[in-house]
Amino acid sequence: MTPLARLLSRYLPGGALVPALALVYAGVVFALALLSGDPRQDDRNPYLDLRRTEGPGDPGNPTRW
Amino acid sequence: MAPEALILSLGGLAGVALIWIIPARLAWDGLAAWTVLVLALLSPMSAVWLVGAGVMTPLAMALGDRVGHRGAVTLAWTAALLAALFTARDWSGAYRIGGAYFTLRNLHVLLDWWTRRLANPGIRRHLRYQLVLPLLMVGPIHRLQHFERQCERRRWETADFLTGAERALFGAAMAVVLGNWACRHIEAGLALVTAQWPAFWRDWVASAADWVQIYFTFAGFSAVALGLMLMMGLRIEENFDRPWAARDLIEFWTRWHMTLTRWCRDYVFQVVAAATRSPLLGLAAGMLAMGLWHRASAYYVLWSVWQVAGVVGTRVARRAMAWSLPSGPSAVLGPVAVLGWLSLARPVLIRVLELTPQ
Repeated sequence: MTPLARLLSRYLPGGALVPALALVYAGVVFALALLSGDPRQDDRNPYLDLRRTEGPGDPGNPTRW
Repeated sequence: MAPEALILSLGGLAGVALIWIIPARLAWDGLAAWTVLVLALLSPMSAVWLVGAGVMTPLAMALGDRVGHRGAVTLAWTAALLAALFTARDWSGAYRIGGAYFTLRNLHVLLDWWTRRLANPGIRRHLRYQLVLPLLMVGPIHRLQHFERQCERRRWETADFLTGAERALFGAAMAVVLGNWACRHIEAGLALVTAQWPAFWRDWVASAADWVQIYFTFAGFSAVALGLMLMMGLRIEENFDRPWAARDLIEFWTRWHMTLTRWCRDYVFQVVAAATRSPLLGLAAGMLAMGLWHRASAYYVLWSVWQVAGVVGTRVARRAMAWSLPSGPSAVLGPVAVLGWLSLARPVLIRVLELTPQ
């Protein structure tokens, strides 16, 4: 049983568990599909190691040497 | 979500299918090949770098075993790996993916070999450990020994597979809906509210909002990575343990990006503290390593000093305070104080750098 299924099973009767899970998953997928077309400047996040290299000629910013 | 992040996440999902389709004895070799293929399509530079380092590290260890100068080999290859990491952002014209993470994984293997905690794994085992697609973009910085133990114990568990899928799905929602969409709107709102404030206070609020945004994005993508790995049947080391529940800065650093903190503790703090018999110097060196890992810049050198000051101040406060707040208020005030200190670094340090002659 997944964490969400365990949580929902506390409050829902057994028959409603699978439709409720399906509804939550569909909602999350829908939200992802709707909002993921909003690209964010990932360079602001040093932990996401996915960035375009700057090249030696770039003006840089105050955080550079 | 950036297109590259989406491709890496979907590629990781395809990797899950591959792992269960390919015969077990070749499964991790198959995933390694798939990882190189996807990475080469997105960032040929990163693919060459990752495979090159993955091959060269065991070769360097073999050389050290043959000539008997483990220390010299470790020093030379560590310098080469770090030089590649610190100069990589100046290699123009390409995406850089995962270097900050796989460099530390290479160093972990090398340093464990140097201290005889690990025998040379050889090229094939080492590449299987390094080339795991879901762990490229945000880590965690997992360890070879734990990874191989998990691989040996791996078997199909439907409950684990579904739990992993749920974790990956909600992790993606955390990164995209909270870390991207919601935080963007909140930051825009804060910018409006603080528009007339003095610049310092405005920058402080923006910095605090950035910490929250970074948490949702980083923890969200970490959950995607760990969820995909659980779908493959592996429990990889966690990166977060509710960091915003931390009641002081010391506790925060044991809960935030835990695999990096442990790496710095094991390979920098303990080494320097043992060599100098000074925990303070060990802390300074560990924080400096952590800061420079984010980015090799003057800002992150100062950031390290800021964090050392915060940790030392926290220790002094812990000792000096004979009393403590009741658990209710401290559960709120502690995290607020931690966020306040962390976010104060940027407005202060940028102004310090502006005062410094260029």
